[in-house]
Amino acid sequence: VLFNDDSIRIAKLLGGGPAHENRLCLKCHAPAGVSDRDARADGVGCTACHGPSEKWIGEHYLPAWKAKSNRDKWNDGFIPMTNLVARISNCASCHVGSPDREVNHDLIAAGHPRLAFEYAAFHYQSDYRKHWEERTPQPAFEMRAWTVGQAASARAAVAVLQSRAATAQTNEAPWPEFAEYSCFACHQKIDERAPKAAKRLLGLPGWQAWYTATLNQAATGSHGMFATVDLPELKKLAELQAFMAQAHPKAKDTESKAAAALAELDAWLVQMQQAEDANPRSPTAKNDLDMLARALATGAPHQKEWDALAMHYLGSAAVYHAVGGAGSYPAWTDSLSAIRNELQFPRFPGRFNSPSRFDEAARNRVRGYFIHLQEAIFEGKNR
Amino acid sequence: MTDGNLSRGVGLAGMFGGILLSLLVGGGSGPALRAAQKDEAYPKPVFEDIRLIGASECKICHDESNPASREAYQNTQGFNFVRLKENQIWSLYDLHSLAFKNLTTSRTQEMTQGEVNKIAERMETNLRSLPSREKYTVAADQACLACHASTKRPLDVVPPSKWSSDSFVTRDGVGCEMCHGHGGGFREKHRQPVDVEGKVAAGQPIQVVPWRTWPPAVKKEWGLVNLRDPAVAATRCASCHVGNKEEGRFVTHEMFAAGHPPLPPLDLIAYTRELPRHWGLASEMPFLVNLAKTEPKKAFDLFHYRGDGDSLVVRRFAESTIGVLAASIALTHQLAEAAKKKDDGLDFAAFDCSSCHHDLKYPSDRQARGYDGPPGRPQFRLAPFALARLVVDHAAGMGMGDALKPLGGELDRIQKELATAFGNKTYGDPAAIVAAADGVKTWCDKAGAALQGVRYTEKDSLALLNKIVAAASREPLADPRSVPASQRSVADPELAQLYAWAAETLLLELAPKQSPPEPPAAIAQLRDNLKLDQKPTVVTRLRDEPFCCFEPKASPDESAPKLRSVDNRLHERMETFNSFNGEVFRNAFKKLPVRIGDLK
Repeated sequence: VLFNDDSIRIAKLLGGGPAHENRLCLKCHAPAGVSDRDARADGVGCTACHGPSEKWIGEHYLPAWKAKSNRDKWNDGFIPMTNLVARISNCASCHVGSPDREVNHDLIAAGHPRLAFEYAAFHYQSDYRKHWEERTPQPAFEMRAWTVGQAASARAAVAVLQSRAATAQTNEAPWPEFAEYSCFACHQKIDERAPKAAKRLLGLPGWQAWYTATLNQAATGSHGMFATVDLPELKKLAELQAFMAQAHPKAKDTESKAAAALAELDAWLVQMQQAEDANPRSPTAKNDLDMLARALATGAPHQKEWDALAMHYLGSAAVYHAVGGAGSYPAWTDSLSAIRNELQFPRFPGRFNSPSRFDEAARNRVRGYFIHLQEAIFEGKNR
Repeated sequence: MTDGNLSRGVGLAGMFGGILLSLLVGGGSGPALRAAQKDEAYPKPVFEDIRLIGASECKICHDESNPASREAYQNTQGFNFVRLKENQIWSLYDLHSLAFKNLTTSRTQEMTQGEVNKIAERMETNLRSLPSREKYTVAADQACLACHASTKRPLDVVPPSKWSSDSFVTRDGVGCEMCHGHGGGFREKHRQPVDVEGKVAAGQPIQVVPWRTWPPAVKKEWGLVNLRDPAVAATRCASCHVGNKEEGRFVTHEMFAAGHPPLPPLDLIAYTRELPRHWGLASEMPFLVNLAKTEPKKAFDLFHYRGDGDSLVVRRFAESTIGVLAASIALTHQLAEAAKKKDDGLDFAAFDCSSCHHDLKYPSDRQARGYDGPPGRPQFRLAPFALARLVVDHAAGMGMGDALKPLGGELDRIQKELATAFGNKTYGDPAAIVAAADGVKTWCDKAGAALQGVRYTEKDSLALLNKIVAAASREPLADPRSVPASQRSVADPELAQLYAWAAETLLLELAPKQSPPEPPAAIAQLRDNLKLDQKPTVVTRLRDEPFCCFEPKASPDESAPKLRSVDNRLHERMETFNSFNGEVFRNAFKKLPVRIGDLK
C-alpha cells in the first residue's frame, strides 16, 4: 500500500520523504519493518498480531504450550487471540492508534483515510480473508466481539488522547488534535438548517463521537453477556468528553482526566478479559440480544451526527448478523439496508470520504428507519 | 478630560494621519500639510453635536428627483458637487435600510414591525437552547445591533464597552450616518454658503460652500467620513462586513453555528455595485471634474480623484484591496491579542471557512493546490492576501511603480510566517500571529501609499484584467511547495469569488458603454461558464436585481424582480459556495476574452 498512488500523493503533501521509508507510516503498515528493512516487504506480518515470537516460536506447537494459561502465553510475548479483549486491543493499537502510533489530522488532510474502527464490521468485511476459524459459535461471538470492540476502541482512543495531551505540554504539536473529533462536525456544508443539538456548545466539534456513541449500550450489554462483569458507569469518560467539548481544553487537565477515564475503561476491560479467559464459549441469551438491539434502535433516533448514527447502525447490524441475518430476522432486513443506503458516502463524481448529501432530510429518514426497526424488535416480529 | 477635549484629540490624531500620508505621497509640501499649519483657520465643531440625526434629516436635501431645476440649489449649484438624489435610491433599494428588520423573529415581530426572517428565527431558537440563554433575543442583542442598527454616538465617543440598550437607533437599520459619519456635527456646516466675491460669470454659482474644499481630516473632526478615499471606505465597510472587535462588531463562530450566514469576502466595488450605488462618482460630478482640471493635486488630496488617464474605478478597486487586507489583518490582530492575554486560542471565525467546510473528496482541489506547511491545519482567510498581492504585482510593473517592486516577495514571506503561526497550534499560536499580523499591517501601509503614485490608464487596467484572468486560470502545479501561496491554483471559494468580481469590475470599466446600458457580453459569458449542471459554482451576485452593470431608476420599477426573502437568497448563495469546483473555475477564465479588441 505504501507504494500506491495515494501513498505517493500523501507523502508528497506531507513532505517527509517516501511513505515506504517513513517511520510514521511503517509503524502500522510494516511494524516489523521500522527497524528491519528486510521485514518491510511482509507488510503487517504474523508477529504484528500474534506478538513477537522470539520466546514462543520453538514451543507453541507443543502440547505443553496448549496447557499454558493465556496469562503465561502473554508473558512470553504471545498475544492470545482467542481472548477477544487481547485480540481487539491489539487490533486497536493500529486501527484506533496508540501512544506510539497515530493518524493525525495532517495525515488525514494529506489523503489518509480517517480511522473509524468497529471490530465486528472489520472482522466480517468481505475483502478480508480470515486464515482462522472462530471457535465461539454465533450469536455469542459477534455479540461479544462488538461489545469488547466498543470498550477496547474507546480505551485506545483515550490512551491516544492522554499521550497527545502529554506531548502538547512540551511540544509545538497541534493541540487539541482535530483527528479526535468527528470529521463531519467541521467538514459539513455551510447552511446547516437543522436545529442544533443542545448537548454541547454551538460551533464546536464533539470529541470522539465515533468511539463514544454506543459505548453505554455496550456497557449495559457486557453486564448481561458476561456474568461476572459489573455494570460500568463510565463517569470519568463522560467527564472527559464534556471537558473536551469546550473550545480550548487545557492539555494538562486533559491528561489527568484521560488517565482517570483510562483507569475506568481498564477496569471494565480486565473484567471482560477474565470472563473471556474463564469461559470463552459461553452462549449469549436471547434476552441479552434483544435488550441490546432495543437499546441501539431506541437510542439512534435521538442522534444528530452521522458518526453516532453510523455506530448505532453497526451495532444493530452486528446483532442482526449474529443471529443469522435475513434468514432469522427478516423483519429487520429492510430497515437496516435502508439505513445503510442513507449513510453511505456518495460514489460519484470522484471518491467521497464524507457523507456529502447527508442533510437533515436524510437524517430524518434514518431516524424513521430506526423507529421501524424498533417496532420490529418490540413486536417480536423477528421471525 | 472632558468630552470636548477628547473629541479634539481624536480629530487631531486624524489630521496627523493625513499629514503622514501626504508626506509619503507628495514628498512633504502637499496641501494637507499647509492645511494643518492653517489649522486655526478651521472652526471646531461643538462636541455634543456629534450624534446621529437620522435619515429623515438627510433626506430633507438628499432626496431630490431633479435638483438642478430647483431654485433652492441654484446659488451654490450643490447638484454639481453631489447628486442630491441619494436617498431616493437608498430608501428604494439599499438593503442596509432593512438591516434591523432582518432581525425579526416570531417573538419580536411586534417590536420590529418586520417580517419574520427565518435565519434570525433559527439563530434565536438555537441560542435559546443553550443553558441560561432561555430568553435570548436577536433583536435585543448588542452584538447583533452593532451591525444591524445605528449607534447614537460615534464609536470613539461611546465605545462598545459603554453601550447600553439605549445606545442604538433602529428606525433606519444601518442608516446614512453609519457609513458617512454622525451628522449632528456637520449638518449645518456642510451646506453653509458664503457669497462669491466680485463679479460672477453667467451660469456660475453666486455662492460657494467653503466646507466642500476643507481637508478630509478637518471634515473628519466634524464627523464626516471621507468615503472618496478607498482605504477609508474599505475600512468603514469592513467594520461590519469583515469585523472589528474594537468597534463591537464580530460574528463569532457560535453565531455562525447558530445560523448567521457567512460573511462573503469583501470587495468594495462589487458590494457598492449592488447596493446599488447612490452617489455620483467624482468623474460624474462637474465640480470635481473641474477641480481635477484646474487644481489636480488638490482634487486628489481632497477627493482622491485625478481625472482622465487614471481610472477612478480601477484605482478604487486596487486601493481598496489593500484596505480590505488591512482591515482583515487588524481583526486577526485583535483576536490574537485577546487570545494571547488569556493564554488561549483564536475563535474559529478567525479562520478561513472553507478550510474546514468542504467535502472530503478525491480528487481534491485543495490537495492539488498544495499547502503552506503541513496539510490539515486550518488557515486564515487567504483570499484578501491573494488579491492584494496581485494588485501590487501589477502596479509594480507600471510606470512609477518602482516603490512596489519589492513588496510582492515581502508579502509572500509574511504570509508564510502567518501560515506557520496559524498552523503551529490547533487554534493558532497567538503570539506568533500578533507578530506576523504586525508585518502585514506595515506592508499594507507601504503598499497603500505606493499605489497612489501610479496611474491606472486604460492599457494598465487591461493588463490588470489579464493578470486576474491568468491567476484565476492557473493549473495546479506538480510541486506546489516550490512556489509561494500566491502562485498556486485556486482552491478556495472566497478567492474564486474575489477574482470573478475583480474581472467583472474591470470588464465593466473597459467595455464600451452602451445606451441603453447592457451588461458586457464577457460578463454574461463568465457567469455562464462558471455554471456546472446549470447551477453557479461561484458567488458573483449578492442580489437578484440587475444592478451590476447600470444604475437603477430612482423610482420603483414594477418589472424588476421582487426582493426574495433573506433566507432564500442566502440559502442559494451558500449552496453556490459549497459547490465550488476548481476545474470549472479555471476553464471559465481560460475562455474569457481579454484583448481590448474583443471587448469593443
